[in-house]
Amino acid sequence: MLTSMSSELLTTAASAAPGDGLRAVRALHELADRLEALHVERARGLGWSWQQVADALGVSRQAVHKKYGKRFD
Amino acid sequence: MFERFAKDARDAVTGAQAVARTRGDVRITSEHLLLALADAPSSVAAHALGTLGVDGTALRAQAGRPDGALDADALAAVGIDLQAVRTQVEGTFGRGALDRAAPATGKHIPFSTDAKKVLEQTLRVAVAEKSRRIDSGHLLVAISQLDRSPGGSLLTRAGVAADAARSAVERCRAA
Repeated sequence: MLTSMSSELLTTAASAAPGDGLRAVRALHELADRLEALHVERARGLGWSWQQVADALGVSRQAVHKKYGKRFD
Repeated sequence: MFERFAKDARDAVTGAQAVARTRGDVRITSEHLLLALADAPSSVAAHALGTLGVDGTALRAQAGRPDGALDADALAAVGIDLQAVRTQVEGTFGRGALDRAAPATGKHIPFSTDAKKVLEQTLRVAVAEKSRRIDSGHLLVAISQLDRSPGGSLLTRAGVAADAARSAVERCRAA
């Protein structure tokens, strides 16, 4: 995919225009959030502890439990 | 003010909330009000839009990206093919998984300043017509006059100018 990326695309990631850069960052956050929710749900379904999920994500157990405890307990 | 609203105008206001919820939007805007007007088949506004060749489907095709939708263009700009991600995720988690993982919209969806402006403008339109009752036609005319609002610009993109909206509404009321 990277090979097909034009220099124009690469400029956006380091775009000088704050609007373009921030929009890209927001889109990445939103996509990452959804992927995280799907994978946390799956991990919990497979019996992973909150501690294991937290370690994999590189955050504290409290943080991950606060975010997903109600949804995927 | 709401006691002067006819049923079709009240339905549009409550309908706008449903439209926003379905789209996963966090605020009710003039665009939601417009889509709700177009969705109510028996309303003056929907009739008027129909005579101008515009319906809910046509407007939705031109409407802005829902708050709850992923921004495929912005992702493409940083080298991520959302369609490829979607295909891969659905392979693991099932059809529609990426949409299902969207954060839920809360119970209450607030009216934006823009939607409140529509209601104020609606009142002005009705007062100018010396009309006691406020119907969906007044709402449509108000949105068309606020041409820089999301709903007004959506109407413009659909090819409906403010004066055309007003005369279509007047013709429908006379009929």
